Amino acid sequence: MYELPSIGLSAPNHSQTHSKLATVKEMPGRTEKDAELMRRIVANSDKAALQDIALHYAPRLKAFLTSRGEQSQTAEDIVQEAIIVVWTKAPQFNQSKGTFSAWVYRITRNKWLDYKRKNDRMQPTSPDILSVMVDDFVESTDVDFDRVEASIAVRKHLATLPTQQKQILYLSFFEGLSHSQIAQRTGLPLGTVKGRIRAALKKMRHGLENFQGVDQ
Amino acid sequence: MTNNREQDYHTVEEEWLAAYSAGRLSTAKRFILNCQAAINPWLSRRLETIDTVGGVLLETANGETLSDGFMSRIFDKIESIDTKPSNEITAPQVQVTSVILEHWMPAPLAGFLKNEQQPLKWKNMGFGVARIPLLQHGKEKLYLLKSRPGLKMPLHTHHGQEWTLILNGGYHVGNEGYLRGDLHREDESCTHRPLVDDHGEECITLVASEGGVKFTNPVMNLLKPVLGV
Repeated sequence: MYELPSIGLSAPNHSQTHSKLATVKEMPGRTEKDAELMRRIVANSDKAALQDIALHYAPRLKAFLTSRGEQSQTAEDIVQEAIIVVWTKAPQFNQSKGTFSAWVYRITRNKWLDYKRKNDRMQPTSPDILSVMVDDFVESTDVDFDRVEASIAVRKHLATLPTQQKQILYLSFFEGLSHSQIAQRTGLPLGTVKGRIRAALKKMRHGLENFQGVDQ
Repeated sequence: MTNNREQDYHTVEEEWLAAYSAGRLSTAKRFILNCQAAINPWLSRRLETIDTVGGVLLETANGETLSDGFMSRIFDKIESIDTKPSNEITAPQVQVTSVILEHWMPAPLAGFLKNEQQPLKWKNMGFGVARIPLLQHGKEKLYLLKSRPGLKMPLHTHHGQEWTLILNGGYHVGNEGYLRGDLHREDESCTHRPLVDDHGEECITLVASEGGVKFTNPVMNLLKPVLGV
């Protein structure tokens, strides 16, 4: 059984009162460590590196899924599938295209959407068709966009956001709450919740315009 | 085809992009954003950036305890499927299709139509408007809508939200113009009368509608079952 220490961001336990909110801090060095572990996986098929990376992310990905209402066992099954994708698709991970955490976040989210689709009996269209609709994200191929610099900027900017704005982002991204659920949880008006998400992400977007390549 | 006026495009507000990243959008709305990202690389970059925010939050979140044997089950599965990470990229399956793909179709829409073997069979609704239903889930409908150049849509509002992605041609609402690659979101708080641009091109849009339209003219409301809106 793996138990990890709290590393800066604490979320309210659903069995507890919702009066407490998450706090978000920076985690320096994680990007570099992930990149090195992925390099070992690709170069040496290093299972110890896979275990290292899984032990950091799997408990968090499980929490990400149980926050969305999945049972413990289902959440673990989905996370296991995601970790296996990390292993099998490791050579396709390219740090210059983004951080490992964003990659595994996207893999897990898509696995979860895939699971929901297959288990949603109300869906009128065949699962294969919906698979095309949900997962066919077209990644940017723009070589002028420096994704490494961009991800560093995102991280720095996130660290400087006011606590309440970070908390709202956490509830939106990590716990998957709707805008009205966040309003209910925080006691803030719905418009304020939307406004704070919008303001935080807009600031980041403006900061990222510095990384659009030398010609712009 | 990509959009050359990348940074001037219309899309939904940041909180909806965050909902996309968090996996909270409906299938129809998610599909529309995938199509817009396929047309506009600028949106694609924005979605990548927002996923980076999700990744950073993930790095530092509190985890939940894993059950005994979690890693050994992963290693067992890895052993059963392969011995090492694969660098091979699976060749896409060649599919015989009778679907004719049009220049205005973004890749996800073309993929959907090919996969479903759904030919473009426009159903004429009158008034210079034609439609192809793609999906219905609950009350939300996803469909293609084609309008003749110069068409003045009747004044209307919406039940719930309506997301409209322009795939060909364009239209104006007041002074605001919407062209290929633009995404226009409206809800019940807005009453408007879109005017299709009259440059000789049909306006083709991909629409996700939560509850259909509500015309201000009661006669038009009587015609809604006929029009299918």
